[in-house]
Amino acid sequence: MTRVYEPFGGPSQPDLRTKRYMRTNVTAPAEALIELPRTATETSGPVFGAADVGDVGVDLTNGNTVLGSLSVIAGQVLDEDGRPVANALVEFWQANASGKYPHEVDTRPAPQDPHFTGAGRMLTDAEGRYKFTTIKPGAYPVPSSNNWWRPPHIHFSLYGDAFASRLITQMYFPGDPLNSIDGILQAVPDAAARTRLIAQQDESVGIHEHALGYRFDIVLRGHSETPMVG
Amino acid sequence: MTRPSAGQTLGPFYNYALMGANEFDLTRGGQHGPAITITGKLFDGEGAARRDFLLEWWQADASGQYANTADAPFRGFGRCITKPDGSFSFKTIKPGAVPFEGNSWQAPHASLGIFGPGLMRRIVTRVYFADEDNTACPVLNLVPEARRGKLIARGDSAGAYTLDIRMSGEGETPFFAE
Ligand SMILES: [Fe+3]
Repeated sequence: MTRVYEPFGGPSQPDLRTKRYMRTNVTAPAEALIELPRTATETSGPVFGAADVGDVGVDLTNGNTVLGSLSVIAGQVLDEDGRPVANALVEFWQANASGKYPHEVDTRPAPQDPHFTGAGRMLTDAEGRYKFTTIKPGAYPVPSSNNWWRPPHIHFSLYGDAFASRLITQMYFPGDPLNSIDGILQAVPDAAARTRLIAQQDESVGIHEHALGYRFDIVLRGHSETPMVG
Repeated sequence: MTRPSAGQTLGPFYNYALMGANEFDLTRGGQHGPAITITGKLFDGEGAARRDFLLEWWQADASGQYANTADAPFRGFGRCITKPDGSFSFKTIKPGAVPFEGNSWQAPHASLGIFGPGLMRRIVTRVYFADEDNTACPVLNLVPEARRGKLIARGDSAGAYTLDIRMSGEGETPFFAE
């Protein structure tokens, strides 16, 4: 499919740097970015198949009993015209119920949950839909940050149908008081764009007397066809 | 019409989620040209090597065609996460020249998308090759002449290329707007 990509940015996107976090003042470019025409390199992109997804799966509990509120997360990956993006690679990872990641750099003294995998991977279907089972993650403190706690969140990595339609973002949970003071969510200037990063509770997604349900839709760059000019 | 969802940092705690076993090796599905390697280190603006930066490599095949199916002989996509010493490595084949507008061509190159802990969006650059004729590439020529060399990997006769990435400050790698 031929897609059109507008320049990226504007108030719906955060500044590249995160204040008071991971020293992004020395990892973000200081020079102006160079304008790049859209060439075959940017409008083409990797196509993923079942072999790429492997056996990572979409149930982060592996059918085990794990600590935390069992939750089903479902949504649709769309382009800027609201059309589904089929076969998008969706990868997600998160902390466990105590806010701990299974990663060597996470040295905080909080318990691991041996039955919780913390990551999943899948391709969207023909309607751009994805769905996975997990638990609501715990909040965790940002190291050396004067008591900044990250609100519960799930990291999402998405690859649409071009090198240009690549996004890594985070999903937040509705109603959490930490959302309004989080340095990463609040780095998005536009209030409506921040709201779109917060999932909506949705009983139709959950499982009766078993799992909470959340709906989270994601928009990737790209128009399906040339927009009207003039 | 809806603008794209906001980017957010991938954080420092992701390598167990994204890393396929051999995704730095673009020849893992078969050998479709002489193998080359590109190795280097990623540095921040203070000259410190940085770990846990995600590099995504996208290139055409030896004839300059981009793969457009999941079962293409050469997929053209790879990933590497920088190690604690800042090092990264890709194994691949040399891409062919890629069409540009009209009758012009882009010199053989790969696109490199970079995500870093704390950085809210991807940063994009390109890798060119010192033993190719890069003089007429319409994209490379958008880069100020004094900085072009920062995008050009230098190789030996065995196809081992090296290129370091400077995220910021003195000797900064040229980066492109998305
Ligand atoms: Fe996180």
